[in-house]
Amino acid sequence: MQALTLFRKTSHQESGFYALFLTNRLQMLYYMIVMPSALVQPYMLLAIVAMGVASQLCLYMLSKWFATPCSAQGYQGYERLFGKTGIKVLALASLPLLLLKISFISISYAEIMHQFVFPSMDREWHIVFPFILSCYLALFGMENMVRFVTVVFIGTIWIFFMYIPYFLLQSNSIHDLYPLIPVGPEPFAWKSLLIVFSSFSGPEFLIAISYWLNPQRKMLKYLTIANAISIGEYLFISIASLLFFGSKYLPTIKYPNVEIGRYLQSPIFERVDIILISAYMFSFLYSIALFVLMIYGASRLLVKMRTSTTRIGLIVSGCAAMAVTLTISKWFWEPGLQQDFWLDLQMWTGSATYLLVPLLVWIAIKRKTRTTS
Amino acid sequence: MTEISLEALKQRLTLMEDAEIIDRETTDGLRLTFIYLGTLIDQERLNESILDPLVRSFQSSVEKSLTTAKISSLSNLAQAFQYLLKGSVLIHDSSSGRWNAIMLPNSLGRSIETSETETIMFGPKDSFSEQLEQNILLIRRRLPLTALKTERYSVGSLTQTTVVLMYIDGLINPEFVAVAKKKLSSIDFDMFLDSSHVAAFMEDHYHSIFPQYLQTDRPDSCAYALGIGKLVILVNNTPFALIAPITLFHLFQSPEDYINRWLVASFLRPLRYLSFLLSITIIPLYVALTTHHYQMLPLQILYVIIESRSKLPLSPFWEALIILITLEIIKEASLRMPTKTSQTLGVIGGIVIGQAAVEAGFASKVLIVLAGISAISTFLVPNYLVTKSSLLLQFIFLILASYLGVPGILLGLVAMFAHLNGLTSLNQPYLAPVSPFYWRDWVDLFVRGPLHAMRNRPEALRPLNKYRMNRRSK
Repeated sequence: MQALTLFRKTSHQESGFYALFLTNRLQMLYYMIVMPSALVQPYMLLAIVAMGVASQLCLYMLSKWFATPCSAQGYQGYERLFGKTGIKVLALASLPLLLLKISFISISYAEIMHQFVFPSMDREWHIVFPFILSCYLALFGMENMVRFVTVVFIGTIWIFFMYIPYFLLQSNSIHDLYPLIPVGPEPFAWKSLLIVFSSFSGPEFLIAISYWLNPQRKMLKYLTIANAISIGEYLFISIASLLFFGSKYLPTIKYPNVEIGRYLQSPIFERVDIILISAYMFSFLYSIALFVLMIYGASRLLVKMRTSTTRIGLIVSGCAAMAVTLTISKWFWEPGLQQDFWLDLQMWTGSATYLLVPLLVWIAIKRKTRTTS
Repeated sequence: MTEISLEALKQRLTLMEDAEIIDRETTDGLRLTFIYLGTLIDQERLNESILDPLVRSFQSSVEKSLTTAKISSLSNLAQAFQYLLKGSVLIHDSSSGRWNAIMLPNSLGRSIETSETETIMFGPKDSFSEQLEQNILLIRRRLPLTALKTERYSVGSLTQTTVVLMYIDGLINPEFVAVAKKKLSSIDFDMFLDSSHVAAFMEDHYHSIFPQYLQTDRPDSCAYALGIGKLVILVNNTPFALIAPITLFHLFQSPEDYINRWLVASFLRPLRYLSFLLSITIIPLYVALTTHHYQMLPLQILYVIIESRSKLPLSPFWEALIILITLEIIKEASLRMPTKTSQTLGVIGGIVIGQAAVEAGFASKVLIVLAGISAISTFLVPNYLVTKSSLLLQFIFLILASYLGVPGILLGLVAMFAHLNGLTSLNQPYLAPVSPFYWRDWVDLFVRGPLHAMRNRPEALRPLNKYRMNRRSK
């Protein structure tokens, strides 16, 4: 039997499509949970465009990393750029951030599952089952995981088209989308902007898996397309929510785009939203599996492990992530104040990592270029 | 090496009723001994082409007397038995002490018939038989190329089964051939009575329920596979060839796809994928909806289901499980029975038992309808092995649906795709061209594009010659 090598690389297929799909799916991860409640006024739609542009700047810096030969060299590449101590510091810093991200998306999704699909089942079970499957996914190794994003993209992108009917409603009026520029003195919605920017975050973690992405020069093109698709999706669903609920009623709803899914009907299913919410699981499971693999990789870097990767090691990493998630869910995730705390924390950390990680890499590349020349 | 001696041969041939040892003297005084197994050789040809010309010959040796026959000179006992057991006549010339062998295999076998497992309305009707040489001929007729290579291997310590590896040199990726050769050379087992046994030893993941080699008895399918850069493995005494590397999507392609108009084929192919998904999810979905998500059903459908289930003592899971197991019993029984009896069984099983189950209160009418749709859907998939795999998947999904409802089915689907993504056939990814992503190959994936659009061979196979058309004619 072949030895388990979770981080091996065998194929050399150069495809920016994986980067495209990964970027898009990681960016669309939060939207369903957090963002619509933050964009309740029509003029806030412009925030999506503005933050999309800001996101493009981060992706531009990220593409600089992909253009360097270091990105295709794996560990040696990071070592050349940051040095041995630098890598350890980065690995150490990434662990709590990854755990927070995993916990936040898992609990948020479990809460939606609990509220809309399975109220009779404890929320914690909605965390445990997906985690088990995520560990199974992760066991196939990083190379398979990166490839699998194509299936995830195809398996979830169709959900976006399900919202088309909301644009064709008789009751819709173009006036629901006005004013696009605030008429009076509005309070500065910096928090909304930050939430939107945080929603665009996620692609910064591609730095950790650039070795398997077979980076190429055209990477900026693929990242830009992904970002454009994400902006389109955000705008599309936000407009649908605005048209359906109106800007007065929208602030009262916690999960607007999940709620509007409840009004979708077909001749066979009256509650299509149950299928949609379940199908969204594809993205969440995939992201958790990807992050668990990253946690395992980062832990190995920290403890200088020289032996080959093992199933047990990965499962322990998965269990650790699940334990943190369950602890937060059970004791620290209560409706109201504490939930807002986690949302704020994720908003800050998401925005910070999305801004700082590409910036740090960009500066490191500049420094390296200067010293070598 | 043991030298050949008449005594040693006779000793080994004791209690072999079909073993014949005859002595003849030629007109020129040459004393010859013929040893053969009567059941393995063509006796008529032996008399007409070997015995008669030799006895009447005035030549001083067997080689000079039989100028048209292919004579092999034997040097040791093991070689002599090898020839003997493959249908040769051993000839011993007592004056010179030389041993020769002439192949005269009995050509007893089926004639070329129509494929029963992959029937098509239009297109070639011939199929493989159990005779290896005939099978090679059927492929060679379609691909008259010197580049079409055939390499022979012998597997099985007891059966000594001949396996032929076929590929088009200069077209196929040499990596596939190297992997197949390595796998074939390393096979160590005693009996190989079917090509599936060879496949079992060559598969990368033998625990998986998905076949990693495509079994077909159609020479045209094999020729097409060879032509796009795959390899074919023929196994003696079995009418099913193995094609590799394959992907999941190849299992949903029928030879008729390339005979039908492309638009018609493009409509039928997604229908097969859909029917496969239906066959594994429709009954679990019924269980999920009736157990956990009543609210998903429109009121009119809900009335029908409630009315249908109102007198049932069993929960939806047990109801579905009983019906599915009964259905499988009927399907398996009809396969094992003689053709005419199986038709009766189908009628009794399908209609009488189904009706009685509803009236007795064991199953709802809705479930019977869904079970029927599910059973028929499985037959749309051209590959029989996938049909059988879908059965197992259906039961797994059923358990998931009964405990976790619709999310359970989705969990199952994700796990299935993750498993498929991890599979390989001859070390090549099983979900290509979706994962890894080769967008150019999509022209023949979910739809069957027009042949004019299929200018390139599948990129996922990385053939040495990518183009199917003369590039100047583009």
